[in-house]
Amino acid sequence: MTGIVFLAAVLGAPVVLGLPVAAHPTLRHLSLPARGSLAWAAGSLILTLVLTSLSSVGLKWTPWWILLACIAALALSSRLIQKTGAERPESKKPSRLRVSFGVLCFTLIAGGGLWAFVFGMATSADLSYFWGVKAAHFALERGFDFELLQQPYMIHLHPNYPPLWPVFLAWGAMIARSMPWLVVPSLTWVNLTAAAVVIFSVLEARLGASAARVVTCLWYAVISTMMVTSFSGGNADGPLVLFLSIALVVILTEPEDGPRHLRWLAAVALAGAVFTKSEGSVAAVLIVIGTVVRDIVWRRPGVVRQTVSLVTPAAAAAVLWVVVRIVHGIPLADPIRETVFHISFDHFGLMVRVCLRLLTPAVVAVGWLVPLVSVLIIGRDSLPRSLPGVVTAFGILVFSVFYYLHVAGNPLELIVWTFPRLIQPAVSAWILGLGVAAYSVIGESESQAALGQNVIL
Amino acid sequence: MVAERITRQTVVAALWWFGVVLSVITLFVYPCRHGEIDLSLRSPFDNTRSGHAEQWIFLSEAAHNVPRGMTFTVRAPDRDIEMSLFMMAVGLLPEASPLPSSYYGQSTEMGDRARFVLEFEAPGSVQAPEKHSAAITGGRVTKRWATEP
Repeated sequence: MTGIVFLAAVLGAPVVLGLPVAAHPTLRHLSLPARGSLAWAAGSLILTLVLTSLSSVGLKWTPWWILLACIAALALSSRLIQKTGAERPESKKPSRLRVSFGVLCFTLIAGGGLWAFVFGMATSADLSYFWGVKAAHFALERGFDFELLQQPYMIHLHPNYPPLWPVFLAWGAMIARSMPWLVVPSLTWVNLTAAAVVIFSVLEARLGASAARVVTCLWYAVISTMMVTSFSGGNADGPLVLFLSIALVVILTEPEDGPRHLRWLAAVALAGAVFTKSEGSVAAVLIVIGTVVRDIVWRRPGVVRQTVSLVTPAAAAAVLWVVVRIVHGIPLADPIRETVFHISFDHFGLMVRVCLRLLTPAVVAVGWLVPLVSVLIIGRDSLPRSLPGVVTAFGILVFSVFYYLHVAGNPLELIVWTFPRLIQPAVSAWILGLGVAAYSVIGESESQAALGQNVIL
Repeated sequence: MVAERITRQTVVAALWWFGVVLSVITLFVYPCRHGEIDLSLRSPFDNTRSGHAEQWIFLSEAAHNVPRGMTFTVRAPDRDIEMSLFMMAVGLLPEASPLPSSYYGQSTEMGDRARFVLEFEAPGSVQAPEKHSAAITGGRVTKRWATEP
């Protein structure tokens, strides 16, 4: 029963809070499940921002405060996104669900992932070490347990990590009156499936159903398998990939010379990524860099203005978390990790060898090679469109190596433990970037018109 | 030109679907790599084969023996396991107060002040418990009679 109440709380309340997003005119061309998924993702961010803000000013998470704050957040978010372009993009209606090989594959991936996460085959130790631990204490305290986070023998809780995931779990645990640990890993599956539904719907509107099916299925299969094999069940990798994938798929499918109707959605998703994990900030910066470079290559007007609007919500989320930490005496850097810029090249060779080995297991190799070979077959025409994804993928790999250079001793254990999870957003960006690029060149003619490109026949 | 485009389209689509099939097979095969799958749902780690499931089950049983607000510490034969148990215990016994016997491999004296001692893989845990000890799956919970500091 606790698990059911928990799921109802973490799935239901965010959808209600995200309704203004789902109802926005620019999203009406997407399928109902996709809009529901977007409402859930945006609502999760709004809910955790509300709860974090209440705690930061010393207010407990009582029903009245939460209700008042949520009503205010709903009003504010509705007003903010109504100011964005209300024009509907020209695109096709979503297709009806047909029995096909794609549907069969999607069902198998969903079933396989759910089976692995429910029966404890892929649960992350970090859930029981810090993500879920913080959530259990926050739920009991009905707010951030700042005293716990300041304890010298609680640095393993990584008090500086962004708060979205523990606060989100705490919300569910507070409503359910205890932490249903067995249920939490399944939320990783929910995040991945929600992302896949959004990716399919956005791609379908832009590239056509067949391209959307194949790109979505490969993305869903590879990322689900990576999450299972790297034991990511119940940790913050699920929501991180959800937010980053939404932002990327929206940016990647923007028309070359038309209006950018969905930029606001990408901006909200980047804020979600920044508020979920420290790596989310790195990935968000890389996505923005890739987008700026692509827009410059395309000679699009208003790059600076569009970039500022893309970055603003993420920057606001980052600033909020910095202010909360300063005000409540939580360290800005991770007390467990080494000091920033104190780097050593002693183990560089080992580091590169181990990272390369971890990039080549079957499913990871599929994630890198299939999109790469496709683009090689298609030719260079597609490359500018892929830039936000490619820059993000390479940037995350470079960042990973830079991060490991900070390890004073032998980094082997840390690399083996963290690298398979660090590269999940990179592989996701790579598949989406090159997938959209490849299919925008070889895809259906009407999709190319939607993407603002010349049809090559 | 049209024929070339269709050929490229077919090759690329075949490649992507091949990738999908390979990934789906891995998704189903990987969790079964150790053979039998435990469907009992006793812990979130039942089929990870990481040792966490045993630690989890021990702590969730121990939690029934530590009253709310009491201090406790965890002990294990291995320092890494002791750290793992301590980190888990903070979440599994959120209403009690954890005091580490060691932290990241370094001994601390704080554990000596704890009212309850949760001993994982304690020698003799399968034998008859002492008067103030309770034998549980995977170890023993001992209540110290000394007053709280």
